[in-house]
Amino acid sequence: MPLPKIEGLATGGTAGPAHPGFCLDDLSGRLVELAGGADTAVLTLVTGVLLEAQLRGEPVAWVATGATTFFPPDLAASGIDLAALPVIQVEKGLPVLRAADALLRSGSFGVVVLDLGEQVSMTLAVQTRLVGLARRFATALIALTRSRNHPQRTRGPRSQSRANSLGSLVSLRAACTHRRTDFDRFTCELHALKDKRRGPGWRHTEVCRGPNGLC
Amino acid sequence: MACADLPALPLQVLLWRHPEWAKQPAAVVDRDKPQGLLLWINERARQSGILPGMRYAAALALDPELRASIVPESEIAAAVDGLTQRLWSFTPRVEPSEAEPGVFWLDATGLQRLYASPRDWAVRIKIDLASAGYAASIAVGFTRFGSYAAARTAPAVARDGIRVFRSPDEEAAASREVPIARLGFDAKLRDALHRLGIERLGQFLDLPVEGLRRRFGKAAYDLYCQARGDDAAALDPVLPTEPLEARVILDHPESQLDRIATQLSAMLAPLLQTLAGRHQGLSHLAVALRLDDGSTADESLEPAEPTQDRAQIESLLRLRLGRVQLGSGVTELALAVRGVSTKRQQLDLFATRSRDLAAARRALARIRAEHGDDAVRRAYLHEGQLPEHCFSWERFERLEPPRARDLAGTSSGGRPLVRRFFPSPIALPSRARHEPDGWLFDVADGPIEETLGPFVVHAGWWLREVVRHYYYVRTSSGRWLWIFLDRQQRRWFLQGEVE
Repeated sequence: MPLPKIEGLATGGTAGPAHPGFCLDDLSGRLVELAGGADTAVLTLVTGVLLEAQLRGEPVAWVATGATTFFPPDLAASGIDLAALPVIQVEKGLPVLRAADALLRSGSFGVVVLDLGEQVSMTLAVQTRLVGLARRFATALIALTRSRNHPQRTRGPRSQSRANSLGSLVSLRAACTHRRTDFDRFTCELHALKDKRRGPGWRHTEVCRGPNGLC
Repeated sequence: MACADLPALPLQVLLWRHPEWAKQPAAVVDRDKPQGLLLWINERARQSGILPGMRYAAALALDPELRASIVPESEIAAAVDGLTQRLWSFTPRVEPSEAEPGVFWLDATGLQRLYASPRDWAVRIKIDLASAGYAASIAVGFTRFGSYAAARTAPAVARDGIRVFRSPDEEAAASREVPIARLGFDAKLRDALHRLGIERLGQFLDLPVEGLRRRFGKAAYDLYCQARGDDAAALDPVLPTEPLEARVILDHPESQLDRIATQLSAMLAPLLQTLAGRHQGLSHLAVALRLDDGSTADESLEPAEPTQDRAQIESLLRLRLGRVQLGSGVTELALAVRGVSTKRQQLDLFATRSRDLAAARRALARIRAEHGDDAVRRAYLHEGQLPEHCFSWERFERLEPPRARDLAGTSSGGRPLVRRFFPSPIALPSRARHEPDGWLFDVADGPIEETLGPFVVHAGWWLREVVRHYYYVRTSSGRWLWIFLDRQQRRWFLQGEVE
């Protein structure tokens, strides 16, 4: 008698995530930095992780530092439940880190996003504390940063992973870009510049449609 | 039985906000759109033929001077609470209407020795409400609906807006003459009766009851029964509760916040015990500090959910006090708490959820206590034409399990790119007449290489017309910017960008 088909079960293998390396299972318990330049796609890529967490019933939170933030209708169109997405609006610097500490310490969030923008700094002591909490409660702490220079365009293999980085305790640092590949299709690419678990260099791509007016 | 009617209470609340509308036709609408329904209107609007239940656009066609706005339910509820407390000083049994804010039933029995007559009692209530800025009419009668109907027409019948009936028959006869348009009838029923030529309550009561039910439904039948006096239900009053407060005058001005917090903790303990005796959890805490220079500092906080956990409340209190800037020493402390009945959470014993939502709520409450109540927000989506009208940020009330939608395999076309949104659009440099190198916003991004648009948006044509031409433009560095040309201002603005 044949076994029923189960979605996501690869032939002859075990059920696994669709995108190994950039999925909630691989990001849990880590400090992740998604960096971007002019053609950044950090918001789009982190939305995928938030959606995955919400579909599993995991609470998520977003800490924003500036006046700007995501356009909520785009997240709703992605399937995100906005009613279950608290957005904490605080000033840059210490308040962000204190808010992140409170969220992580509760142990109740699957994903905490820190939308840090440009010119960010995080001392080693703070990183140690946050990484410890993220690991203890299996929370994905994802920091979104942005630089005027493209993260991949800095010279030298060592400087690639270190340029404008949050710090040495970042477990995964990736450059996120998007480019138009078809009339109504955009390819968002994540390039791992540093990965303490799998090693750098791997890539992850997602194809998205443009928002209204762009496709 | 008496009824105090504060006509169109939400409208009165609205006119406090906009006193310049007092002499114009004004209305409260359920949403600020042309299709919004008029919920309450003033007398000036009524004179123009405008009635509750009309669409805002239809009412504007009748009188272009009409002014309208929404009034949040929380604001109405606060006004009703305040009025209930005022009326308690005249009778201990007050029942605010749940269906019509602004209608209060009062128990007038047993007050003969306190007031010279029922009219004297009603006059005092009316004066007290007027001193608080409320217009009211009062009817003292014998039945719930009869006094309500009489109060609704009291301003037209009696100059002082007070009616006192000597017998049930007198009340019944008076209520039969009340126009249906003055009563809280459903707009559809009211219009249907108007088409049949039924304008007064007496004509409505003369209708055959079975036919009424068959033709207009159960809601109309229930209303008929109420008007006929079938509901002899006693008052269901809101009883006054003793406020839980504590006050301490310090021997010397105290400027150390730690000591103040310790003192407040000591004051909090007996209040929590009292709440526990009432089977309530603390839902709101207010602190007032009187300073040595005569000024006061007020703070308030709310835990994530009603609780009797003293450690949690003290922790929030210390965080909130950490934000207080004291100009001089504190000489007096006052603490007030409010509680609500708590529910036992037996079902949580069997919950299989891996994440503790209660702990998440406590974390959010902690952030609110530290950074202010508006620090934790959520996005609400609205129907709007302009991007800034498509959503609003509102206070995050309570974290619930997420209910995300998996769009994989649907016809939605997949996930969209997410845009970053600038709440205040950034003015861009004007487009040069000659553009040898292309249009340049930022030297670092290079010139514009690709443009998509325009996508024209017309909005606000009923108030202040806005015409925007939206474009997506790609710079040579790869940025996709979301910009628009404001036709009125003749300027370009950056609305956001694709990220």
